[in-house]
Amino acid sequence: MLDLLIEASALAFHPYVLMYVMLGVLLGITLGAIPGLSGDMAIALLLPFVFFLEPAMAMGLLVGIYKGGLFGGSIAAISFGVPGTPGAAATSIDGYQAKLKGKPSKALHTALYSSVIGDTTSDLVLIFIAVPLAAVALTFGPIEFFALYAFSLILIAALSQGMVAKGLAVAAIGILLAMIGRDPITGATRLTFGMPELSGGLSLIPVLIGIFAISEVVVQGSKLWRRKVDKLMDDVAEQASLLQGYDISKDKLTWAEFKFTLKATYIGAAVGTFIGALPGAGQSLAAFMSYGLAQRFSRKPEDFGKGSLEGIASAESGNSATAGSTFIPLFAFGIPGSATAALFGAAFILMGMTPGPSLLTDNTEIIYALFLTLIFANLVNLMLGKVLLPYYSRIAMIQPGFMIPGVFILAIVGTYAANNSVVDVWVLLFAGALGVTLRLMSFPLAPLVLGFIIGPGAERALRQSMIMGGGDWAVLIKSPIAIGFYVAAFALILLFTFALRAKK
Amino acid sequence: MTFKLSITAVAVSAAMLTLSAGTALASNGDSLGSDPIRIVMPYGAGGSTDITARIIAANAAEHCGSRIDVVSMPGAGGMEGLQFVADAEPNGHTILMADYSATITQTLTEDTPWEVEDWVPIVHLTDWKPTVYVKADHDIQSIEDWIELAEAEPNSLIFGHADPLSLVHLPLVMLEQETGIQNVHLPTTGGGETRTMILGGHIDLGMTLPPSIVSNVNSGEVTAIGVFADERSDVLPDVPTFQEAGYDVSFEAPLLVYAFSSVPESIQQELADCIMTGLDTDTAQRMSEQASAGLDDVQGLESAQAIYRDTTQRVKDVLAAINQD
Amino acid sequence: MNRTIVKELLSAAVMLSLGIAGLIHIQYGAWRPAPLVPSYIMPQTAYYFLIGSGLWVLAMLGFFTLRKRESALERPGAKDQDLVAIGLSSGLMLGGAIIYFWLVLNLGLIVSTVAFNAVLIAVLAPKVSLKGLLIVPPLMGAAVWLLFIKMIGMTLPPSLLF
Repeated sequence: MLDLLIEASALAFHPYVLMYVMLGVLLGITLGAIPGLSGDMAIALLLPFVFFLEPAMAMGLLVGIYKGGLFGGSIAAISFGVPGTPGAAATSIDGYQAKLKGKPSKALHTALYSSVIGDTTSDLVLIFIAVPLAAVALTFGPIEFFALYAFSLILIAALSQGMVAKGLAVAAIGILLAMIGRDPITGATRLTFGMPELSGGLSLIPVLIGIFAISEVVVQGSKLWRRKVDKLMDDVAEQASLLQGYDISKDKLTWAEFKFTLKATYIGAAVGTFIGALPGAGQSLAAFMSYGLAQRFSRKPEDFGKGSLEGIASAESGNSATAGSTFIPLFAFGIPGSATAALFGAAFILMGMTPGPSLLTDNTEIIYALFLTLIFANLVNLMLGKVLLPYYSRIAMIQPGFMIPGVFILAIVGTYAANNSVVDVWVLLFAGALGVTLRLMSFPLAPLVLGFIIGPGAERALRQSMIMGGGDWAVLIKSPIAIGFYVAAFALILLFTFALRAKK
Repeated sequence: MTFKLSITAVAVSAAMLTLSAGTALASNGDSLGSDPIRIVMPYGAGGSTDITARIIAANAAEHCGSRIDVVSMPGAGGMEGLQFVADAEPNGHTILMADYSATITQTLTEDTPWEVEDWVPIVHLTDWKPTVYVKADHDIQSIEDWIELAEAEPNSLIFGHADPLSLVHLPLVMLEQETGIQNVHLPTTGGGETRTMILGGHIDLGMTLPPSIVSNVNSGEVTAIGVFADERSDVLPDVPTFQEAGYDVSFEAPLLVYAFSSVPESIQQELADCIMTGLDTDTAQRMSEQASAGLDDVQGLESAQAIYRDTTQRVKDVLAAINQD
Repeated sequence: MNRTIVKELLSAAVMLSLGIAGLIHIQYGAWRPAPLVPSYIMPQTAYYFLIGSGLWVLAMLGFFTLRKRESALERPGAKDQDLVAIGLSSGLMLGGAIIYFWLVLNLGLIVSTVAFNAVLIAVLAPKVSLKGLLIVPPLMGAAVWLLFIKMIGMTLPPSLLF
């Protein structure tokens, strides 16, 4: 074991490899910070070149991009309320509120630290207990997955303070939006309102950015506008004055604050690692679920949604903690559990290594080197993030009259660039309008986005379960794991309804 | 410990990181210009088709005279990718790479703005052999076990395949027609999900392509029981074909590169030639071998079109038989 | 009737009508038959949830109105805003975005970006100087060009201007 570690570190800590890791992290943070673009896109672009690189260098580059991208998504989420990557959607809920309260630096640092802690936890789990965890992951079939999806939707809806009914309703709307397009089993188009452009369904990026970002930008913009016309003093005016007096030295994350967020970070790390190991569950689900659980167990749950650092920490740590564990099914069985894992799998194949149970035994050195690189990339991420964050927090504090137009344009053009699709931009603006309407009618937005993200997976799991059970609903409660999820969901609803009563 | 870190490798990667946009020269009439070429692949990134497309992109670029990008468009069961290629300017810079389920089956079963003949295959890359497999500790361990059990208790076995009527589903339909057995057909998102369910014991049988399960077969986690092909697969030489077991069902799936029919024939020929030249190089062959992509017998335009016509006829026959039921 | 009650009634009405319209569509729309499970099973579940939530909102509304505790309905900490006015100006901003993107497709990315940016700044920024209006939009245009055209190689349909 020790010999192996020494050999592997000779590979992993070669100067060129280190250089590639840094290059990758830098590239990843930058791409992740641009709304619509993500690390996955860069990894896909670089795949063919992997063949020409030494495996250790190629791994360094890809790992760097991946990790940088995971954290980079939170920069745009906090600074402009635009989730740079789907995984950062939950981060934008509290992150952007914290920024509006004049605390961008605190928010960004919380995101960075929790991201690195969550990621490292998940890497350690990958290195030491990949095989047992993979066995647990395999017990999740369609029945269990449907229960997991239902549980997380109910959890998020139940957390919409005092508005459980509205939360469930928007979750249902999110699911309905996800149903637009082709039926995954029969292939027939449905709910397209006769528009052939919609037969491909709505893409994730425009819906996500439209609901969260465009609606926010537009509502803030119209408040500014009205203030300019009517000379009205409202909360935006207060913010503007706050921003003018922004002093970064007063916006430092203190040790006490950091310690207070640790519990949320650990919850995120645990939830993220577990969800990451399940094939097909995904970063956004992990982030929203950690956010929900952290709120449940927080000592200040009322701050969530209003710029709570705990909210940022749980979402960001949950999102990043999928980074290591998403490889568990790939290493243990050769099953890519996520788009990123599939791309890494392709890279392994191009380098002559077959993902699967024989991967570790056939390529011990290089895999151990990869493990070391995974941990090392977190340090690079921490360092680079630390160096760059002061600049990012200043950018976040540009006067809203100048910033809102810029963010508005970037979100539109970035959405177009993600798929080179004109339809996506119209979907973006439609989602923006929907977001504005729901905001004005005081609907929570997070359940809608989560419903949209997990809608297709939930539908597939439900229909697969029913096919396996011969068309009988009873099949859904045939698994003890599934029953556990349903009981927990029911208990949560009861708990929240009564906790609310008691407070009033 | 003999890992050489070559300077050339660094140079190559530095070059690609500049992400330079190719110089745009207008393509003139009937020959391939130097604008970037886009290979549209109607599947998700990271799968076997993706790897093959990227091998083409990396090797054929210099012969085709411009950069080649691989675009993954898995939306709407691949229909979005086909739509994109059909709508593109007919100058040969947007081509499609797909198996027959996107171009033939879906065109025949769905209401599409194009016909099967609108897709002109220009290169025949390889043939895939659909393979049936089970978990290693399952009661079924051979074709005979399966047929016997399915005959004893119809609809008791759950069979996972990717999209309905895809290349890993049609052979099952044909076998059921041939033998009269009945299974529960469970659609999945693809080979990865099928394998997860097999390994987790949620379903009984699954169908996939050989390269994706070789490593699980070798480690003894799953057993491949039969191949729907005329000959055994190179990577799974111990697995019998269904013909050997006495069932005359065989349906190999050709992987083809297509141009849309509005692209001038001279450009089609030019594209076919440069892709074949690119794949004939040592680097390309080495890449293909590492990825088990099977690009050692790439055929040009004529062979591709012959096999396309043949496959179309077979798919039509199967669909007609399904509709009779 | 205060604003909160109007808002809640409107929300409940939207939920109920969406849900019922959806169920009617399932009843009378053309759905391709699928083996064992109907293909509308997931939308149907969503419609049931919408109707259930709508009824729940109505029940809460009735419960608290009878008890004269309307304040319990509002989200804790929410501010009272002039919704109609904000809705109207939001609509105008979204309309502007549609015109902007139409111009991007027909006139040219950089020209439209500079123009749209200038208009937005003029409308939104308090105390904007002519200098700010002349410097910032071209910078924005340059940033967009560098990022999306130069680095990412975004493909746009051919347009009239740059």
